[in-house]
Amino acid sequence: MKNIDVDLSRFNSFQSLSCVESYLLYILSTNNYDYRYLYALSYVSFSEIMNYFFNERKRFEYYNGVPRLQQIASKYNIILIKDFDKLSINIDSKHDYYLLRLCPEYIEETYGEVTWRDDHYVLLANYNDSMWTYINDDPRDCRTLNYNEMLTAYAGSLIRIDLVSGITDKMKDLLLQGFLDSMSENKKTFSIPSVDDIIAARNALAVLRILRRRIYEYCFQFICCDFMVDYLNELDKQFSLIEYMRLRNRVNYSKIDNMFSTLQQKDSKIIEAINGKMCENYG
Amino acid sequence: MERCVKTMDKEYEIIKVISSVSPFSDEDISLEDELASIGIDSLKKVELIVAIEDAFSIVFEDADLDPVQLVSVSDFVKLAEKYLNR
Repeated sequence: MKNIDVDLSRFNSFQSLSCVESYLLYILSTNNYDYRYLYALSYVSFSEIMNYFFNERKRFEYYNGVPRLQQIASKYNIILIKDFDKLSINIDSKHDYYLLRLCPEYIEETYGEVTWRDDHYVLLANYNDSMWTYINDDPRDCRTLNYNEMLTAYAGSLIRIDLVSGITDKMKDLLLQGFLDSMSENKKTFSIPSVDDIIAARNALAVLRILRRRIYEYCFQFICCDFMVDYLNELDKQFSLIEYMRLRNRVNYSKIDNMFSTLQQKDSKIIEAINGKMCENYG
Repeated sequence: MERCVKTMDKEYEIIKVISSVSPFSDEDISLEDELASIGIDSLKKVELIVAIEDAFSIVFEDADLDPVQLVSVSDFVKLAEKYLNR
């Protein structure tokens, strides 16, 4: 197993939807991969996101509107990823990296909070006969446990990740084509429902801001995307305002509806601009 | 001197509130820390805003609640002091 340099500030840069995505990006960044190429398949329309949360009434933690980054990395043979249910923590040193699933009880006791999902993982940084060091993405933490403590915290599942290949020029071309196709295909559009669920509203914005930042970071390798910055900052601000309304119990759905309507118009212009510039240069 | 002590007291009180939202204790938090480095993500940032409002009986204006401007502990301290000094 490869030891990992611990630098929790790396997580600041990642646009991830899950802990596994965070750890994958951590692994790739410590191995000097330009992981932003994996963001290529992150476009989904504003109305699709709204449909997921307000028509289908699904949850943030299981968002499946775009493929997970580990699925993309696996599909393009950048990594081999395998998950196991194993009662004992069976680390085969021939393999590169391990994610260990932790018990919700341990997480709550250690960090004083509950995770989004029951299946939360940590990244094993290094271990020996007596000490196990892991990295947690949220809250950011690096912690060393003895073997018995680790066994107590462990929830019986592992994910193993092996690095197979760098991101080759051919992969980059395929990903670019995938991006262009995703931006141009005529997908079904959904009518934007009225917002009636403050948590769904917040989570819809959470997904939107992450996915639009991914588009920004991906496209910035090809074109100047400065025109996106104000919009991205506004997404962050509206996300915060909605959460503030929720915490203060001052929910104003009419205001939120107007907010989403305005954001949708801005989003549409931004996406059109991105699509235009990318197609002009690379289509 | 007295004004300097009072300023430090306010800073300390604000950091105490920050530590109530962060997994870190107030002794481990400094003005220079970025919020992300002390376990305060975008959701916790809003929780922190509400906690500071409640702790000091202030109400921030929407215009001041720009996450882009609230990146570090000192950003929050400055914002809170702006309202406390009114």
